[in-house]
Amino acid sequence: MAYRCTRCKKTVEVDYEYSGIRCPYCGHRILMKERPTTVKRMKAV
Amino acid sequence: MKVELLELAEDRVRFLLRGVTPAFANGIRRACLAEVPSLAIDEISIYDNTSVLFDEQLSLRLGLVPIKAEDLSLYRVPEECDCGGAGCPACQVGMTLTAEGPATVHSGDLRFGDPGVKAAFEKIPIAILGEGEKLMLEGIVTLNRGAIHTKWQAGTQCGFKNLPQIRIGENCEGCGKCVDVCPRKILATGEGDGKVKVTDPTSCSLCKLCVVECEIGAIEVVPIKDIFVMKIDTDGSISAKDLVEGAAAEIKRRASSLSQRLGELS
Repeated sequence: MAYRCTRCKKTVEVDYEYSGIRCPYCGHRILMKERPTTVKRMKAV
Repeated sequence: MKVELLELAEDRVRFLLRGVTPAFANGIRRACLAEVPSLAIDEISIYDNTSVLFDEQLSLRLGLVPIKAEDLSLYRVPEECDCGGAGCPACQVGMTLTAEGPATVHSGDLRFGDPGVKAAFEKIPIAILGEGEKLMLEGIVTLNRGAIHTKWQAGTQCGFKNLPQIRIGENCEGCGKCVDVCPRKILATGEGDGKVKVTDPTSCSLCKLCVVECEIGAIEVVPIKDIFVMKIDTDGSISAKDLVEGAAAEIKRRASSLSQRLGELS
């Protein structure tokens, strides 16, 4: 699952084995989940 | 049964139904709400949405946009279509929406595959996009009935009431207290004999405040049992005239179907 660091804007792979969430490049702790590139289909309700 | 037209606009009709039962009047009301087909966005495919709205919020808003067609008879309900609901030009229309901020996305920005199909109102706001925010999606518009989902409900405010009969007694002194208290302003102090006059009984809500206010009991308000004031409003996707015609046709179709089935049994 790809995330993006809100500070350095780099794409980050989260290591789920590690107990915390942290950007490996800048150490920032706020990551955003990227929107998948697939088309999202849904009922319009 | 007699029908008397009171008011006809593109999205609103008021008429009197005489000589029918409450069940019949309610049948017309319910058919207007749930049985007359109209167009609405059924499914959407979102390619990009960087707006502040969740995809689900966006899809809900798009589904509720009333859509009108120049000729609705070109389309069929998917279940009744020759394709069996698989999807063909007779039962669905394509729709696209592409926008980039800063902008407010309105219903008028929706582009439909059929040039005869468009949003009933151009200025329904869908999303406000900030700088650099994008919206790119496509959808499928289908014809269906309000009984399936409220987004296909062409009739919005559909109601009826008994026509009130307002009797002004001989003992009316023309004091005007009932005129002042009437919330619908349908009473006026009379000219000539000095008694109170009724200007528009179809607008009376049967609140009977005038009856309470009249200390000498000169005014009486009673509902007429077999005359109804029908009021039908539409969401703009079809005209009020077509809506009531469609409702009557649907009741007729069902009655014919029942008659035919009963005929087969006997």
